[in-house]
Amino acid sequence: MPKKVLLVDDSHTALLMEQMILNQRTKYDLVTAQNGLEAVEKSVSERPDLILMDVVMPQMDGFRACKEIRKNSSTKDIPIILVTTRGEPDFVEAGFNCGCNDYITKPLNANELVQVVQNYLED
Amino acid sequence: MQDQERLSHRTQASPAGSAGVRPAPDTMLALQTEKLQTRARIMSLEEQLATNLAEQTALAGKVRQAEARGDELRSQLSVLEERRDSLEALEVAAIRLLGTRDQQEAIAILMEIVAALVGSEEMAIYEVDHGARRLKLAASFGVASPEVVPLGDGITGRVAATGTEYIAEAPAVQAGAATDEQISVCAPLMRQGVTAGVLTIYGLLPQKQRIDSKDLVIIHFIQQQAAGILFRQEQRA
Repeated sequence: MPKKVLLVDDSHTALLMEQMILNQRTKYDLVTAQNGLEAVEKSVSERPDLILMDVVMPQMDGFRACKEIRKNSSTKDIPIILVTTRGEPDFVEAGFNCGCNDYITKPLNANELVQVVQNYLED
Repeated sequence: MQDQERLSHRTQASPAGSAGVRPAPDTMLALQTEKLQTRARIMSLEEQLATNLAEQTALAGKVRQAEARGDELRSQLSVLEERRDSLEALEVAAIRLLGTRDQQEAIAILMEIVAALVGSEEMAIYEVDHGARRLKLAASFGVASPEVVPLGDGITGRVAATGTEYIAEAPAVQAGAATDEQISVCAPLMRQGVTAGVLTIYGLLPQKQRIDSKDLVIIHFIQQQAAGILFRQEQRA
């Protein structure tokens, strides 16, 4: 059974880029969400093995979505990687305080994205 | 030591009368034979060693060649990977931009493309009015760009007037300022050989060091395709 990754971003372009990179280089199943609220819902319904989460999103941002996912016993252990344009130390710290496991910055580097995802999904 | 013992033993075993001083002839013969055999053996081993050294030298040469080939292949792989990354980004840009005929949606998509694929959240799109010799702001994101720019004025105006793109040698970091000093890229948006508009990208995200080849592939695509979607009316020259 292939591992499943939930991609969360309000930018269709960013989502498409992530899908293209991962589809071309890995065999993971990919599901998408376009805001934090949908991400929380799909973390329960899809039970992904990993979540790639944008931060600045409408309805619910990535920080809050991360906290909500961590509150739920059925999803609290899913690794969450923040994907963000903001790489400042205080921003990154805020992400870790919300419960994320890692972060990568945009614009995405394909090799970096695949490496980070595989670090969490490969035994 | 063994040879000396042997020699001593043979000397002691030699016929009486010689007082053990001169070894018997057959002993000498055996010694000479052994010496010759040993010399021959040494020569043979020296030949083998020379051959072995020659083989080592040849192998070392082959190893160096293989290492050089490995370096060359790694370099080619790096170039191809970079090309693949560019093509993937271009495909995404094309799917997004060519998937709409709505001007407002096209503007939003352009902003997404520049933010997600190039790495800047500060940009402006201008439409060129050749008749009035000016550029009018169609949209901006992340900065407060001037509403009107005279044709030929500043970087944006010059790009519109000449149809030649501008790429800053040392791109600025985004700072919320729409000044010429903050312009990283200024690209003419072409339609049928005429500059119909200009895309100005200001400061880059802090983690983005430079405009690279992948970015240029996307920007050139935008140059050729965006005007047809963004600016519908014919430009009066």
